[in-house]
Amino acid sequence: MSRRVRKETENTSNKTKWILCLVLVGLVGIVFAAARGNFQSPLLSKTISTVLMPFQGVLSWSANQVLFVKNSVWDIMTVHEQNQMLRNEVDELRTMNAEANEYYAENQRLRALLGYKQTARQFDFLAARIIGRDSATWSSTVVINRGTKDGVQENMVVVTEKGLVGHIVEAGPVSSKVQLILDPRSSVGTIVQRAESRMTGIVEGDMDNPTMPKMVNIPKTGDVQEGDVVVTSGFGGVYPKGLVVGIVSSLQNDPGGLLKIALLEPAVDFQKLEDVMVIVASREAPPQPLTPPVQTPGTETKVAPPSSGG
Amino acid sequence: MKTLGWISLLTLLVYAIQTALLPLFSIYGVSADLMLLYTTSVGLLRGKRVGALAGFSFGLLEDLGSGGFFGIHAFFNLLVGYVIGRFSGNVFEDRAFLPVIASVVVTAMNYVVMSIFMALLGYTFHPLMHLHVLIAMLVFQLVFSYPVHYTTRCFDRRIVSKK
Repeated sequence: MSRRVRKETENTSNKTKWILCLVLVGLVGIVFAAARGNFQSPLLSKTISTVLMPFQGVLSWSANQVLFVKNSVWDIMTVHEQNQMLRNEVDELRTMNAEANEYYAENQRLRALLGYKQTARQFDFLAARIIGRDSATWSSTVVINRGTKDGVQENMVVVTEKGLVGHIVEAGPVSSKVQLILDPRSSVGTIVQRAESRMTGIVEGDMDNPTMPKMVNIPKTGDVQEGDVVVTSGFGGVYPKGLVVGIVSSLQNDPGGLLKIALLEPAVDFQKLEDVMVIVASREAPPQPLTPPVQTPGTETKVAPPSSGG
Repeated sequence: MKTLGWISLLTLLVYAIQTALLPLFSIYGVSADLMLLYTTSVGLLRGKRVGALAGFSFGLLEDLGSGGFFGIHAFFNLLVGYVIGRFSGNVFEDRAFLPVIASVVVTAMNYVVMSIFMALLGYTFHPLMHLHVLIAMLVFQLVFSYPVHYTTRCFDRRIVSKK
């Protein structure tokens, strides 16, 4: 009896194995057939999907609610921290924005300088930045960040793309002092640019009106009009010829009565001066400095001392 | 008949949890394969025949419910149900570590078998490049293996006691 039962059990077990193998082989075949698109069960698949849909829908909705609550709680828990982070970010962005504006303004200035540099090919320029102003006479002398190490020397001319700024009066190793044309000690040999006029004169700083230099030594009958552009004459050997100094703003009679004075609107806005260029070399041959004429012995006249500038 | 209804309901619920709930907490797009754990537990509790049948049914449900390679889950779950059920007679089913170890083994097997299938079907597949996926899956399976086994065992005992 027990042998019969064991035999039956073995038969059943073998049968199960055979069925299992057949099913497995069949499934492998189905997998390959389905992968090649030769086997589909759309009806069954749709049925299962339909049956599953309510379960999946409810669970998905529940999970989303849980997630929403979790995220909300997390947001509330971290709102202070987030607020602090955002504040820091705002501060950081404000700083960055200010820096970006600064760079933009600098970029504009440098572009303008570059444009001038490309048009004035007769000069070799050295770009410099104003790092200090004389606090006592702040609009008359400035300090630039270039010195003898950069090739800057005394009496070199300082300009912007708009016109003449001044000249170097003291060159240190890494910085230099620039005397502006507004400085009362400055004197620049100039000429009226208008072809019919070509009147020469000297532009000096005015103590009484520090923002407007004056052109002196103009004969009373000299052809100078308001709006005339005044440029450097090149006489004197310091300032090269043709640099714009300013525009005649108004004319006044000299207290002596023989000459007249032209008040100039400077070409350069000295209040907004930040970047300048130092003319380190000029390929333009400067005119010979004025020399006193040869005088007949015994009739010599006393010669006035030369001016400090051009 | 009523028992079959409850089993079907539990199966649908497990599958719905696997497909609708767990993906929200996935890592590398991987979450726990509850149906595989469920098959393993049934195999451990009910032996190779019921395990194979349950594996086939659960796998077929997965194949029909998902848009993957049709038959692949049925094949593997059938195999798992049978193999786990085959060895279940030699071990004590109440041991907690059993489903945990089994889950690791079947998950690794699943990875290997799927890789072979992909290669046979002509898809370029570099198993070593997806090891992080396997590790994530193993972690999920380890976490869920005992809860699934516990639930299955409770359900099984209830059915047995009712009978």
